[in-house]
Amino acid sequence: MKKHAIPLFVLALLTVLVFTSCDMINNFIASRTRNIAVIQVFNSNHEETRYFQPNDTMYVQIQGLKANGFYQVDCLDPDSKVITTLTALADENGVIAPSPIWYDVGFKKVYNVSLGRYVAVLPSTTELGLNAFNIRIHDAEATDTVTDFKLPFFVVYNTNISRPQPIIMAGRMDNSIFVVENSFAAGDGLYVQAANLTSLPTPAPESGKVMIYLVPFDGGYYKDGEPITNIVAKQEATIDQLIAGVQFTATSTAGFPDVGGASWATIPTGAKGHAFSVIVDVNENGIYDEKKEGTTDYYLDGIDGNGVAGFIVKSDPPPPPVVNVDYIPANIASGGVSWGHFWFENWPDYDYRNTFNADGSQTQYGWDWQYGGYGVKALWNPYLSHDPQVPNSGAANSELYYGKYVDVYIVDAAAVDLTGATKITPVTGTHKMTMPVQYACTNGAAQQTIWRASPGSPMTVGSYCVVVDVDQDGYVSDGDLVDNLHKGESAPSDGIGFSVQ
Amino acid sequence: MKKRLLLLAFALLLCIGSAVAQAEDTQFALFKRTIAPVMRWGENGIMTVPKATTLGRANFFVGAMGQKAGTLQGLDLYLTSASLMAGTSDDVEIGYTRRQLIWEDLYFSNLSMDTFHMKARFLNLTDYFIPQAALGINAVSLRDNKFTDRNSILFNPYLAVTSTIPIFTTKMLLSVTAVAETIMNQNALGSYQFSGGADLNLFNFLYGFAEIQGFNPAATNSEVINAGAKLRLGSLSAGVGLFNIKLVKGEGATVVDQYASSFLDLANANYMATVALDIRLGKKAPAKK
Repeated sequence: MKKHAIPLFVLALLTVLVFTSCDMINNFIASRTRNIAVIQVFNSNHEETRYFQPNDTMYVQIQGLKANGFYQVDCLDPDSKVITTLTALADENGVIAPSPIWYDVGFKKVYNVSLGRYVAVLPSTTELGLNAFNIRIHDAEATDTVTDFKLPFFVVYNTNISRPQPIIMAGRMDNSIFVVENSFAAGDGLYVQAANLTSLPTPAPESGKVMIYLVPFDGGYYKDGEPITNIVAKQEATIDQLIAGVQFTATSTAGFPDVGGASWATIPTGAKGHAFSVIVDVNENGIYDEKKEGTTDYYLDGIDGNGVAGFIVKSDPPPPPVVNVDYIPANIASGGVSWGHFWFENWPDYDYRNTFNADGSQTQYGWDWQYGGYGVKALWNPYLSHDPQVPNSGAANSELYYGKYVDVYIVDAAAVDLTGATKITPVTGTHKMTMPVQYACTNGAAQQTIWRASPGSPMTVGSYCVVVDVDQDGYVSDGDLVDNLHKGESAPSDGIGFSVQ
Repeated sequence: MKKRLLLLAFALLLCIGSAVAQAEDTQFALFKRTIAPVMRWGENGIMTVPKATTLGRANFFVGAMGQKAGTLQGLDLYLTSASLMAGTSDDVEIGYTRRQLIWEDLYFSNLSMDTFHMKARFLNLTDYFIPQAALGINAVSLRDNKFTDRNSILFNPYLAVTSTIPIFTTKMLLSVTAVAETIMNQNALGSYQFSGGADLNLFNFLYGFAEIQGFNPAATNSEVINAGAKLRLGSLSAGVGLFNIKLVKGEGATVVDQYASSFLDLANANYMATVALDIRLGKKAPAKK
């Protein structure tokens, strides 16, 4: 007994501390806690989780930063190579609002020989997948030189649960093989395929089929229980058809702007320059139901393009530029005002603007949850693809991530060099912003704030262009996007993208 | 008989070496570093690789370790782990680990993660030579650090096999371990991963160990190695480990040539310190001959 006296005493002490002093311990911990969740990751349903459906988007939120500081957030593989990265401005509370950092989670990139480029494929339909990585936050331009830290994270994605959420993919057929695609041309065939979908739900719809809805992408986000109201076209399909990949051949709703009455046997000409999401409504109730009511793991409908576009249809090439760089003129600067999914009279214009107030007034959140802060937002969508479709992730594991990131600048309209000879210089008060984008369509900004008008620090009056440096070479070069257009223009008139007044 | 057992142990070592020579998965290794309990290094586990040996009935273990995560607005942040393990019988141990981000001024962040552990040894014919085997599981929440919904828990089941070999005397013990494991959630399994390692116990005072975590025979890549040493004085022990050392294979026509010209890459390695307290209330089980 004597031998055990000290261990017994220690154990008794621990027991007393744990069981009789819980309140004291909890109070002590609470009094010694800074209520700052430094780094958190979310899925596209705005849930803080380590569980993702494949094809989902991972968002990262950072807290505890310097107000209005400019930071870089990296996803690093275990060898510290960059998987994907972004730069972002902290708000007045030192928070970087949830921002998309990893698109198409769970997919890997594989070179498709017949297409001659990389495509995204699901690693397995039967396995539980795992991605483990570090997220690092550090200052991007010496606005806060005393912040640099990283934390390990892991996420799993499951393609084989009792009733998983269907993974909906728009794509094309290549030699009878379905290939996921984000960027189409008018005249292409549009196919829809579902993974994780083996049967109709209970109760099953009377038709014994599911409904595929084609809806415009308007920059917004479909919430659980939201009616599907803005329907471009819809088509029924059996489960087996969806699993194999079914061609979408429906006729557009009569009177729908640009595409009304047109068949989708091949993508209609009127769809050029527009972006879409694809919703599969498995119980045909006309509502986007993420899960069966009262359940936590009984998923119902699936969507390709929630918060980001599912796919885009490329516009005709713009008029040849008078300069020797084959850049793409496009509207990019946006006020971020979103009006939900209830519009029908016209295609969404993503709140592209010609003028902004210096104090950022009358601009607002792209959506409530995301991209907080007032000022100029960036949104390029639809995209006129010159994308070489080569992922630029530096991760050692070449299959880890199919995606890329681009640089976005706000430049003085009088100083932008469209010959590509002069390095792009962001105007005072702005930064070179790095943003991850989706593969193939290079879409993804989704109203990220690129010039924040903070209290006491208004935007500078002047005329500006927005440059998306797709190849990140620091110059305007072939394939880069330049917002030197007025809203609605297809060719630049005075070379000004937007003005601050 | 002893010669035959020595040969058996040697064969086990060769098996580990052969598996190591094939591949690894650095992501799985990072995952394991994130969820593994603070082991009694070199005793119930190597570092993050569990051994088939257990704490023993009525013995408790409290361990902690930490590493610097970086600096946030001038204040250093540390990622810490604390584990409480308990031997509920000679062959079963259970445990709980709390991971907590802590500021240098000892304020907590509200970022934390709980992990639960259980291990049951099912094969223990002798203490030495003949391998012991155990099944174990780690459990971590996928949502809000809550364990109320089984579907929101990620399980990490494993099978560990350990053989302990006395070197001239039972005061000097070489132990080799091989582990097969996977992840499991909502009745789905991940791919199988393999880990292994060895530890040397000198007079229950000085421990040295090395492990290779998360290699995947189906892939080919470089291996991740963790290595460390520990001193124990009575119930107290302290150790230091170097995690995430990468073994980069060199050029060569054969695997042997590649390993002969390989080198260790420390660029992404991290030091980790641990302190631990043993609370021994149970008697050590009599040695099996």
